[in-house]
Amino acid sequence: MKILEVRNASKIYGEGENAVAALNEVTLKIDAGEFIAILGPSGSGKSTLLNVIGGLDALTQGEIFFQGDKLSLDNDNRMSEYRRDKIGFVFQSFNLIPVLSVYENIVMPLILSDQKPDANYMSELMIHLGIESKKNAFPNQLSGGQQQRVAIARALANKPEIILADEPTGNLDTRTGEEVLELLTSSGKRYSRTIIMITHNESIAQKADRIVRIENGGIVSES
Amino acid sequence: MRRFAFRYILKQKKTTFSIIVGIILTVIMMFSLMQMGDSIAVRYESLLVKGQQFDFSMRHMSAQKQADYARLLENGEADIEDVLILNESLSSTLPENGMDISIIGSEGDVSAVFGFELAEGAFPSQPYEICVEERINTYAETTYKIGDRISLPIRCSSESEYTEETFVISGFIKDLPTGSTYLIGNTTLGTAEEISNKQGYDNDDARAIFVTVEKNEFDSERIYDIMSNLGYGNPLGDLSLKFEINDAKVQAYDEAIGDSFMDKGLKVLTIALSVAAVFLIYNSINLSVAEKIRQYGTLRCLGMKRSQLQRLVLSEVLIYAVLGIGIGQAAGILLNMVVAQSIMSMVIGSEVLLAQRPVTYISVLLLATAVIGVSTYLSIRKLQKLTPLQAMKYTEAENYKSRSFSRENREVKASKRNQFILHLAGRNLSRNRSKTAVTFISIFISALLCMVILNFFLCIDPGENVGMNQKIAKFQLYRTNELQDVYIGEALLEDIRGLEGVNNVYGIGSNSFSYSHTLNIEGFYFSDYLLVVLDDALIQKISPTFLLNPEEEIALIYMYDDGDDFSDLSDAIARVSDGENKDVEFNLKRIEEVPYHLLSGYSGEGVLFVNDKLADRVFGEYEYIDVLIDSDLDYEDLFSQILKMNGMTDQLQLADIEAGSEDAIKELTGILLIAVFVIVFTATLAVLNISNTVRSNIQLRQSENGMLRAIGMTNKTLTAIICTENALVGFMASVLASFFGILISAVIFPQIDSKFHPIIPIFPLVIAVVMLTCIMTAYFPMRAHWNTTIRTHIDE
Repeated sequence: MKILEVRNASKIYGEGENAVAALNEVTLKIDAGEFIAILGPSGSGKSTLLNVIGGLDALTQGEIFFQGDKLSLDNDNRMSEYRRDKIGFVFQSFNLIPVLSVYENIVMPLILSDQKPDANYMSELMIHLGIESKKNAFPNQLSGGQQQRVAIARALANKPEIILADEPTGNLDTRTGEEVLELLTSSGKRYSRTIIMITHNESIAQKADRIVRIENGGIVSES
Repeated sequence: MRRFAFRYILKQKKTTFSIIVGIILTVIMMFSLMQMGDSIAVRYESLLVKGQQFDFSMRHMSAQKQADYARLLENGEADIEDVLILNESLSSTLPENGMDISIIGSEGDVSAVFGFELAEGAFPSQPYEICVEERINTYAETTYKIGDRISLPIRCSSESEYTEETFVISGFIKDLPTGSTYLIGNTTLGTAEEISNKQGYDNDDARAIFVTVEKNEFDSERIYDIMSNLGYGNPLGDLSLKFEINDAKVQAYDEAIGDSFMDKGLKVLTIALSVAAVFLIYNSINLSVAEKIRQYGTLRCLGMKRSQLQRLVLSEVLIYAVLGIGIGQAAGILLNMVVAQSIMSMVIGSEVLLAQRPVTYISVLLLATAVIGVSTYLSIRKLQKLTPLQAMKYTEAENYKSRSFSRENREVKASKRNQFILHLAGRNLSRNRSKTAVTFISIFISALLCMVILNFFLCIDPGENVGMNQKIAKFQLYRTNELQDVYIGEALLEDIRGLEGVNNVYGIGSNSFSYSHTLNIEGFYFSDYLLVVLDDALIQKISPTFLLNPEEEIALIYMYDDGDDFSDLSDAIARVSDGENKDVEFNLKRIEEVPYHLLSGYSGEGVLFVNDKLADRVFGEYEYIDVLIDSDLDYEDLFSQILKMNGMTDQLQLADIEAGSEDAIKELTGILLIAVFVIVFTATLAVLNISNTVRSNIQLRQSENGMLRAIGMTNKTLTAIICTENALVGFMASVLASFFGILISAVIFPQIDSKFHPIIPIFPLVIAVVMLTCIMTAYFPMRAHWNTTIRTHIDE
């Protein structure tokens, strides 16, 4: 069984003359443990695809199945649980909560689902990502790379099935970006997570197991 | 830049509307209260001699002394406006009904000094001319006209005999606005002197000088020094700085110098509300800039100069200010014209015209402009401290550092979601401490005013002023001057009872022991106690709550000071002397409370209550100084009949209790309306403040909130965090307000009246209402965002 299946997904913004098809009958199947890069230029629909997979936005047409279950945005509580327990997000702008410390930012998804953090796992995660010493610091005291590592740790904290990374190196310099990407990849493998990463950068995309190219809202090739 | 400013304003309709409405409400409220206060302050302005003058008088001097002082004053050594030479010892009564007339014999401008206004005719200039209040025609049987002769019994002092004097009416004075218990007349000084000589009255202390001076220029010490040098010793004598004859003037001065409770109350309220209003305006301007910091950052990245950005912000604020202040002032004027005038008339009891002083308009304009100016300046300064890049990424928490003292404390202690919500809410409040502080202060002021006003009103018993008396009778007859040896005897009571239309008459005697009777009890000093003699019929009426039994020979004593040793009196009083060595025995009981109004206006160490039987036995035949009359007659009818009775003296006054009660309730209603107005406005200001803050938070934390939703936080949890933030501020502010509210109610209010005390249940109730309001104000805007698309990066 595929971990994720997207069937004929379409997303149209606006109406009539102003209607824009951000996704156009996209079909995609993803196996568990895969590292997928969705590559496309700006405006190609890659962010939209990530958003619908992550339950952040609703499809105009089509369906998405996660582990055989159809996703529906009608029930906000159910979708919140889906995002909390099954998905880990890594954003381009890190999006850490500025008033929470590094540790607090990391464990936040667990607290939202009333779970007590596994201290050993947290410690291991932070050591692996090289942020153990920054446990009590606040985001404004960290560099961009460090913030992104925290974001990755947060994404892994609740042991999700899938990690969705939206241009995770977009706000970083090349060297830091490579480090972060390496960490993301190794973390995914270490903890056996499926990673779906969107990027417009060919060389970054090459790190993935499979590249799905998207243009004008549709998948043009997979390799 | 103005075009940009217009675009921003039109694009953000909700923000614009909220800011302008906030300014409008603030200006309306400030203007309304200030104008009301002004109107009350200048109510009697026409009575004040040239506005801000003091009158001072010197009394009880001989003619020679008076002449010497007058010469000194008139010579211009002091800055004296008007000098009036008086012989003020003439008193008279209307022959037909005994109503008192006080005739001032004067030389000088009596209208300037006393505030008399001529209704008709002229002030006296010839011997035996008289000018009298025009309401003489209400009380006299004859209707007098200018030129008519009037014969009046005149006496110069209490020791003189009356002599019949005939005057020619030269004019009528307009009735004094506040009324008086006697008529006022004016004749020439020469006439008064002639009458004094005729009566053989030694008027060595009958003369007086009344002087008006400019308040700010009056140097009392210098005047006293000058006069002392005349060799008459201390010139003060019976010096006072206010007229005592003209009640209207006394009241006018009280209000002009802000002595009246209403005036002081309004001033305090205006200040408190202005502070709250200032914070709202400050917050609104601040937030409107903060919400657009990222956009300003982008503009700066694109090349906009600092000065251009300043002009952009100023243009926007200018539009808010012009619209807000202009509409607010106009609306304030309209509100006052429609509503405030009626409310003030209810409170004051007579017509109050709205003051139209330019200073009010200018004050409000300046205050609102100053606040807007200061908040704009501070906002621009904050903007300029950010680099363009910092501005683009602004989250309010750029420099956030926890203030925890230990590393341990920094870790999230909350492992449960609810605790985490509280934890995050608390942290969010410290993102922007000045914003939180402004919201806190706004809620604090609003909560404090609500608590204090509610407490104040709940302590008032509207019927207290007449209360028991109103239940028993419609009218109260009392002596006007406690220093006069005037009583209402049983014979008069019987005569009054016999009048057609009178149902019953009840006697309440009250007197000080030192003036009429003494009780000498070994080890105890009674002279500071009042003696109240209640007749049997009255005691029957109030006996369910009062222990004085008409059948029993028992006296009740109420002691103000708990320190007085009642135990010495607890046994039967063995020996009482009334000056005639008569021994009387009776029981004495101590009481903790008395029926209200029975003590109204009285002072001393305490009160001794006896029934008339006991009073007769102890003190002999007794007379009353207060009676209640239950009658179906109207006021004028009853009073004129009483005045006509044989043996009736001229020192009694009839009060219409019902009218007084209605006036009291009307006044209270007026004050209550003002209080409601104040509470509604401050609450609105507080709600607007919170709602601005919530809106700003939603705007500034858009991507952050989007991220929270993306990682699995439900809408409800996110809403709970924002609501908790506001509830925390509301709780802390209202708890602090409770502390001050209880303090004010316990310490300051009792100084107005001992009946005021803190009513504790009010405070937690207001805290609960405040918290609920804070939560609801945050809940609805958040609720409106539940169905919006989750955005994890900033879309501007």
